[in-house]
Amino acid sequence: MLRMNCKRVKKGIPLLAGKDLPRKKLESLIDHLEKCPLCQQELEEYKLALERIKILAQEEEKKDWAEAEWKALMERAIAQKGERIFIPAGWLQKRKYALAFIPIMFIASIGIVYIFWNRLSLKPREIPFKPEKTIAQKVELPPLSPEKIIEVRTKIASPTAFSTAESAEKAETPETLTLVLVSPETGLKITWIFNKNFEWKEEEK
Amino acid sequence: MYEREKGLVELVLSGNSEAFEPLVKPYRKRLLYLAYRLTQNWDDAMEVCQETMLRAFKYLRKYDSRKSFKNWIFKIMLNAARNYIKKNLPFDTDSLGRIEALDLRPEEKQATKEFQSQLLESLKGLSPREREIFLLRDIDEWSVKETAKIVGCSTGAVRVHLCSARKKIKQTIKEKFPHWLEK
Repeated sequence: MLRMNCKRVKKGIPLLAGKDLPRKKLESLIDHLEKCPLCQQELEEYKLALERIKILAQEEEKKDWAEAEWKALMERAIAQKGERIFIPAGWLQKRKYALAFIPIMFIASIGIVYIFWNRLSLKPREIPFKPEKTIAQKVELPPLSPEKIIEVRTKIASPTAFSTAESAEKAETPETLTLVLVSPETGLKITWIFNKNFEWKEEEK
Repeated sequence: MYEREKGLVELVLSGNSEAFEPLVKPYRKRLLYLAYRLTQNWDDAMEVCQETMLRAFKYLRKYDSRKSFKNWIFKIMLNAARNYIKKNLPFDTDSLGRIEALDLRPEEKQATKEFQSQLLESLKGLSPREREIFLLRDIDEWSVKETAKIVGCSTGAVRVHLCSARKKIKQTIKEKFPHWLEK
């Protein structure tokens, strides 16, 4: 039992000699050291070695900078240009504020992207316009005056508007004028059929 | 605790370069000795310390005034020493090996070896990381936590390297300087 403890204790003696052993291990080591003379001797040797090294180091510390050399070095250092770096404001230097700033910036950037995306998508959609084959080359919506009618197309009146006999008769003599108006924006088609013999009569009161 | 240094740093950054010397002067000796023990040569140590001072002034804006200036400047020095050793001492940094590599007559080499620091002799055989940690903890008496910050590793890693370094040093002393272990 004592041998096994010695093996474990010897691993900790170098740190114990310099008072660097963690507290957890310290108590168990001290208990063993009080009983084991071999480990005590080992510890003493380490302490002597460290002490001797420190004394040697102190004896060696006699050399110093020559004043002229030191002054020259300081002048050389000062003559340099300092490194220019961005130094954040005092409150940003505190880590907790800086860490809180990151998610805020992230959310703000998402919000900005979302707003701009919506604005871009609000343009009116252009409905593709497919003109019919029968549409005339130029269609101008006439003003209110009935005289200005632009003839777009002339065709025989629809058979549903007249009786069979009349339609046959009309087919032979083109007395109707058909005007087809098509809106290029909405595609709305308005067909006007004019009969030359039509007379508007107001109702007599 | 860092008020004096904070004030001096602010003065330097505001344009008063004269405040840089009183800021770094308290640490010049310790920086020099640590550099010497890392590079094992006074000339190299001076070069490393010069590089440290130049970098400290150039990058002073990056210094966080809430932390210790001493830790910061020693960290710069450690990095400068590592870079210097890597560039200029590509072979093993064992001091005796370096002497052998010098272009000297045999009697000159022998004399140089004899005058070699006993401290450096006892540090022979340590890895670069073990040497850094041992020098900071046991010679310069930094705490384990401060050592970890300067070296750039965890406190657990510091303890592991420290334990290993002390074992090797004790073994070296037992072989070369056994009278040191006598009371």
